[in-house]
Amino acid sequence: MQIKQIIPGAAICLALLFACKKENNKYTYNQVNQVTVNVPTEDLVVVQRDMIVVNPEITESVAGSGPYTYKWEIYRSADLNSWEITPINPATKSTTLSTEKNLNVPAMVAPGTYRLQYTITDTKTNLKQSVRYPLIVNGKYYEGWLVMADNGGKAVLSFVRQDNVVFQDVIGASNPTLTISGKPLAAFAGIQAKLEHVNVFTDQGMYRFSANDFTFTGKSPDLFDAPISPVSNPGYAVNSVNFDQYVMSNGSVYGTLTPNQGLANYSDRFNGPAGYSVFPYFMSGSTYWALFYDNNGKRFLHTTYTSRSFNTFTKNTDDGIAYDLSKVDKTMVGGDRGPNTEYFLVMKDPTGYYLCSVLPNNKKPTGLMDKMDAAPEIDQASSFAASEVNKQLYYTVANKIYLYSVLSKSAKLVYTFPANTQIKDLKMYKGPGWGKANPLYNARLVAATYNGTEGELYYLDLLPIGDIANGTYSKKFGGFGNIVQINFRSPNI
Amino acid sequence: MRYLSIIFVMLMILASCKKGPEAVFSGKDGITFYYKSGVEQDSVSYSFSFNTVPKTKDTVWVKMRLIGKLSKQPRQIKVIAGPGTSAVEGKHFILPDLYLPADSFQVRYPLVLLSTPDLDNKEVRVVMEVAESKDFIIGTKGQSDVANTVLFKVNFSNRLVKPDYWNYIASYIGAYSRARYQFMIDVYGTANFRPDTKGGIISYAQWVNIKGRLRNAMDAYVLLHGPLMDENGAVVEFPL
Repeated sequence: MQIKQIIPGAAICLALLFACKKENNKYTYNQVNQVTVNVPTEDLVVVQRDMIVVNPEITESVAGSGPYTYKWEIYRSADLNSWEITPINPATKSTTLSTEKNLNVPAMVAPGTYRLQYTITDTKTNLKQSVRYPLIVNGKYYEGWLVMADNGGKAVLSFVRQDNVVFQDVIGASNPTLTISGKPLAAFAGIQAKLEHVNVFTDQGMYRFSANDFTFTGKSPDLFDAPISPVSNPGYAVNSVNFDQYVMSNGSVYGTLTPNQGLANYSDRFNGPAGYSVFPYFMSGSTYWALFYDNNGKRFLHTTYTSRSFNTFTKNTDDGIAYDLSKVDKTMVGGDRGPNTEYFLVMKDPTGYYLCSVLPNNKKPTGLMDKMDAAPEIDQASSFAASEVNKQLYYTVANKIYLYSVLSKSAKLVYTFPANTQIKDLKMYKGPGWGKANPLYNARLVAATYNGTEGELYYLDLLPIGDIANGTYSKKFGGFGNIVQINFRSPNI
Repeated sequence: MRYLSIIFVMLMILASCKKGPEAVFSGKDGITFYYKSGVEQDSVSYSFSFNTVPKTKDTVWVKMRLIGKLSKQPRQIKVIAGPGTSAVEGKHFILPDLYLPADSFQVRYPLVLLSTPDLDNKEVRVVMEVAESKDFIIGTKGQSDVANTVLFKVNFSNRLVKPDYWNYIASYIGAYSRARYQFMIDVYGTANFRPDTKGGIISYAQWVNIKGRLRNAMDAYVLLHGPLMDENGAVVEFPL
């Protein structure tokens, strides 16, 4: 190797060696600012089109940090639950509501449950801090009592909202050109997931409205595969698994799926034993999803979800049973659900009146059959309401409310309205079975009355033993017509 | 001189690079039948009894498409009766000559079905098979969103024929029998019960109601005539 090649090579190697030096590990550490946002402990609840106002309390670990940028976004709750996202229900992107520090914007989204996400970004470090708030946007008529009244022959539906605001003639207000034909009979709410309906019945048919704003969405005969007019003794129910809606009228039952399962008209009259005629009351449990009582055959009928046919029960020959579901031999006149999904039904036969109970959660659903010998004026009772806490059934006769104890098999008078006041309907304030519990559930009776000139709605709060607290009503709402029926509109879920 | 040699070799290497040929298909174009996967299938059924106005012949249209390049010239398509065909060509069906129009990549093939008295009591099948023509070879089979096939089956008769979609609705209305199907046609006034999952319009929610109506209609029938028996000797009933 020539010397002139060795010398440059050695020089490069030496240069590389001398390029190495020991790391002295002397760094300068600076504390990174951390932002904390105080989250509200309560759900944010606003009425649609009202202002959503949030003034978050922000603390920074290093004073004088920032500047910051802010972002308020809203997500549907369903978009954050992977199990709810399907090809027919794809996730949607968030909507940015504001980029200000404090939120003060109108709630313009559809009624529902949302997540409000607040993101604060430190522009110096580009670190972000996000928090999410539950946000419930209610429609104007989000929860309360439907009051169906006859105003001089005209069907008028009013609404007493949960916060005690009364809206008269909600259908007329939302549908000025719509005419409701026929004599008013009843109004029912169907609220479960995508199902947000109010169905109004007159003797000439059924009218369907959005439960959120009472806009008209359809009527019979368009909503049915077969005509249902003339309507009498109407009923409406949704089964506990949110698969089927049932309309009852004139002893017949018509079914359709809930919007979660698919869209179709109501079916023809349910297939079943010849000449059946159901009492307009629906019972549902975890074993028997849909139970009806046939006042013609004087027996119970049952069906399963997504079926449009009734089954009869087989004859029960067990010893000691109170009655045979397949052959009750009595006529149902009313009822309501009691504790533990035990339904208390009032029945009659030529020998008198009976308290019958049925438990559709049970494989053998037969309950009681007690003669109501100590129930004054039970033969004149017109409305029934049961507590889901106590085994008690209230019934009304003219201007009086009686409390029947299922355990003691006797009734007592608990409230009397003035003599000229007739009780037109009585309901127990009950929860829908989901969502937040309300201490007034099963502790408030709601009575609808008419005194010949004005319909009124009374809240009668109950003591734990079932008597009326303070012996009088806690609230009263007036200005209605001749009330024919009331029902509760539970909040959306 | 040595450096000049190295530079010369490197230039030679660089100059030897050239763009590779594009990978394109070349060869004779093909043709196949096709259908939408899931919604449609490689067979259909036809009954002359579906027609409210009696017909002696009718046409079943089967979709075909090109595997290859467009052409400015019409090109001949050849379809023959393949293995499994029980119908008699010329008596029960005609396979007409067809040309794929110029600048087209798809066409509907018109299978002509003929109603003859012997079809009153039996069901026959024609298996249409793509054959090589002067312009096309047999196209390649494949299945993705759209399936290509070179065999397409058509079952037909003068009497009722089990619809190709029946297996998809059997859970609502029971196993196929001609008596059951005829009863449904009598109740609804149509023979088309194709579900929306198979290219029709009847949704699941409507099927729930249909079975209820059929049970009501059957109850009324039984009241008047007694149980309805099918051609297999079984009582016709509809599920709950």
